[in-house]
Amino acid sequence: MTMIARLRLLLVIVALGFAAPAAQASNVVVDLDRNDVDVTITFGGTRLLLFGAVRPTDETTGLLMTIEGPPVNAMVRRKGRLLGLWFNLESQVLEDVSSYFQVFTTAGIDIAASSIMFQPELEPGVRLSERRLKELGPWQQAYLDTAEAKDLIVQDAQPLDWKAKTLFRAGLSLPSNVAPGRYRVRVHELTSDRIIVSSTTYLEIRRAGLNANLFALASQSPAYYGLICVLLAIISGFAAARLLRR
Amino acid sequence: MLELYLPVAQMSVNPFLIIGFGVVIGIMSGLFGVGGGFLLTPLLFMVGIPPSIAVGTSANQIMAASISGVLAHLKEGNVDLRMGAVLTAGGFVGSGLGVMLLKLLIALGQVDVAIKLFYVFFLGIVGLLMFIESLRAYAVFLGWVKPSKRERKNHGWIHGLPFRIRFPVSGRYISVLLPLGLGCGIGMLTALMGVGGGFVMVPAMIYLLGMPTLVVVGTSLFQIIFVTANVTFLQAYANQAVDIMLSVLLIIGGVVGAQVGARVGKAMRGDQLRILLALIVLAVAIKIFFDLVLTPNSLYSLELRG
Repeated sequence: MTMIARLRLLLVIVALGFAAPAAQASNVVVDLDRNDVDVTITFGGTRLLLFGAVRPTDETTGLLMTIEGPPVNAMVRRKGRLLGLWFNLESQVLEDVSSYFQVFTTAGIDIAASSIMFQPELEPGVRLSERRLKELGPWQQAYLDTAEAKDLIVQDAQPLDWKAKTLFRAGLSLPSNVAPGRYRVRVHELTSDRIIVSSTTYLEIRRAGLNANLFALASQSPAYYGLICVLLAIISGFAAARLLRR
Repeated sequence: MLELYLPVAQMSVNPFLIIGFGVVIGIMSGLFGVGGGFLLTPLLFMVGIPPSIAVGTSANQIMAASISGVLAHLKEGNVDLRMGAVLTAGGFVGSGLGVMLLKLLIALGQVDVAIKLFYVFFLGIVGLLMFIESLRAYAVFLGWVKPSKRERKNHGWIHGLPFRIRFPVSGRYISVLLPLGLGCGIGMLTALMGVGGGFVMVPAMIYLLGMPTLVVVGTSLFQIIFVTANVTFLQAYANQAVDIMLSVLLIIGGVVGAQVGARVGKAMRGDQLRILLALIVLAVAIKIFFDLVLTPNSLYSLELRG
């Protein structure tokens, strides 16, 4: 844990102590060691520390933490055989799906990504036994599988470390292909059947530096960008010819 | 491990791997005198670069390599500028059409399959012809067969075409439609396959246009520069399919590789080199063919849109 992360965790615990004078009031708070991730030209994915503290009640059985990426439209295609070759024959656009999703749970809680994504929202007060889970359609399942293959979704819940039923933490590995945008981190405190309380924080992933400039140029001024690429080839072609002659 | 993030492809790559690809392509161009785009694009597929970006960025790398290659030929006077200009004019039309077709294929979601089909078709035919021809040349060298006197084929319909003009450097008096059409076809290949097209252009110049061997490579490189420049610009403009960081890495590798290739090439015989090149071309065609025919690991694929 970095120095700053330790300091922030300390503040979290102190805040929790002051905020809850009454014995029975339950609360949970979550934070990250950084709230901003810069996608620079040397970005190759990153690791973040998610941590927090909870004041458990007698009924508290565990914690559930989710990390959701910004919504995107996902084009899922299905290959089929035509004249002996595999073509993309069918496709479906899934609108506003999480571009990234991962679940962490403490021991004994068994909730996979598929019972949260495409399902009724998890909110304080929700009874888990009353949640009517929809069976996922083939395209939704295909989205989970293909996104998992790109390391953008982890379908199985990962272990959330929970010390003395108070402090919790987990390491989050983000791959280099994460979509820039606002990521929501939520922690739910659970009893055997109910969500007592939730806490949310955000993580901002944004393009930065040269990467941001090149992306903006390529997408907003493609003509200039194209000319720059041509110019690059001309200059390096002449430079290479000089080098090779030596 | 050091990673480099590609701003247009929006993924990170190991820069040394990509530079390594550039080196391989550079060696091929130093060794065989071909651009090597036909090998570069499939290599980029293999590391997960989206097909359209692999094709677009390849064209940019080939442009740089062709400029450094053509300068020596220009100095020696081995470029038929008039022929090059006509081929380029055809190439502009063909590559423009190719980029539009690619845009359509992207929209239809068939871009991967289409690019791979083009590869199997063209590399298969060219590889096979090259293999047979180079084997025959080697057999002649070993004294197994007698050299066959190659006659300039008299394609009747070709001489019937109108608008004949004189190409003094090549010593030909042929219809301008011929190089225009050839340039157009190869321009399409540049746009769709990310290749310079030298492997089709060079034999076509010799057998179809009847150009002298001396000016063929220089003239081919000359027109490749302008056609790949056009493709680079259009792919960047219309398809957001050129990644400049990827280009830089490939160009760096290419410069290193060309040095190595030129040295190794001097130590090998021409017909042996051609057999080797033919085998590489065929291997790439067969590998891509199996990609198209074998049942894929996953039937589903995903594309995220902002």
